[in-house]
Amino acid sequence: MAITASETAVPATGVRSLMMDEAAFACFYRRTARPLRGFLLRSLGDPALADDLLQESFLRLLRSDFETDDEQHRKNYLFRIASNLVKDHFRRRRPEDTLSGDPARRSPGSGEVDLRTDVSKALGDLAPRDRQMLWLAYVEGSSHSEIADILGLKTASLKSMLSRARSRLAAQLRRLGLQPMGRGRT
Amino acid sequence: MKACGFSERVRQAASSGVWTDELRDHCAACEPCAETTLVTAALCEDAAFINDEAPPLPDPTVLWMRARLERRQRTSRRALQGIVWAHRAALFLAGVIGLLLVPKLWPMIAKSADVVESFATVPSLPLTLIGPALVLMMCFAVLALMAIWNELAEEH
Repeated sequence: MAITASETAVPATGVRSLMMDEAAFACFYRRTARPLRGFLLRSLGDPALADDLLQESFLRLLRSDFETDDEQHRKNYLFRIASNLVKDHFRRRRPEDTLSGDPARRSPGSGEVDLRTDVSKALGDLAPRDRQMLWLAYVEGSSHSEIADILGLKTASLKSMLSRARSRLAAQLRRLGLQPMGRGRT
Repeated sequence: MKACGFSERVRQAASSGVWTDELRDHCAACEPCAETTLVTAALCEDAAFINDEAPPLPDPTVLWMRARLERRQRTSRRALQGIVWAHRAALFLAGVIGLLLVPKLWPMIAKSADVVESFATVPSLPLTLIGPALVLMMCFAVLALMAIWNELAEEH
């Protein structure tokens, strides 16, 4: 079901950009919040920070003047906001925090879900941008142009970057003993 | 890296778990597709794990209300901008006029100071009142400066 832009949602005070009404927003939120949380969690490796940026992404979407009837387009825009927030986070981060943001290098006592799976360990060895690319391509099923748009990259260079990131992750997963589903065990 | 025509179908199969014999055979022979299968299956499993383990999502109503409130505050701030600037211009003009008048008023001020010092008598009472009037004017000037300071602080 596509979310429709509602003119009735525009209050008399001239608040123009809240083009979705509350029900449409709640519907969009229910559909996109979980995928976005997964994307942020695997990009950042910190559940609390991922939840903060999740809320901030939705707030920025609502604050923006972005108007569209196409839910996929709106979702891509939301992911772009989130990706920029992640970029800002890594840019602001102090050198001594470098290790704490890496899912694979967190202390076992941190109580977070990241270390519980082999996949998060393997992902932790990749650069944040590679994690984001892989997540968008293989979990969200985004096209190359969509990924390039979300991450602010060139489509032409994305193909080779994605291929390299995939090979690196596959090598890590194999090292951890995981095998492709099509060849036997998952 | 060469692209494989099967990669999107392989990704969909690895994500859904629905495989055809043709795709299975292709993956056995194609390294990029084998990687795609492994990576897609692992990441999708991880995504499902995150969804199962993650705490409940924040209420969208709260986000909606927060965004609306912020939006309203921004709109009202924008609407008040003109009034604020007019207020500032008026204060600036008052200050300029006050400064221009100081040289002309100075003899009167000096005289009033003399009067205050010499303990004015009843006939010179109007002149003695200039002293308190000056104090009052100073107070207003200080209050005006505080108002400007407050506005600037609110803006930042």
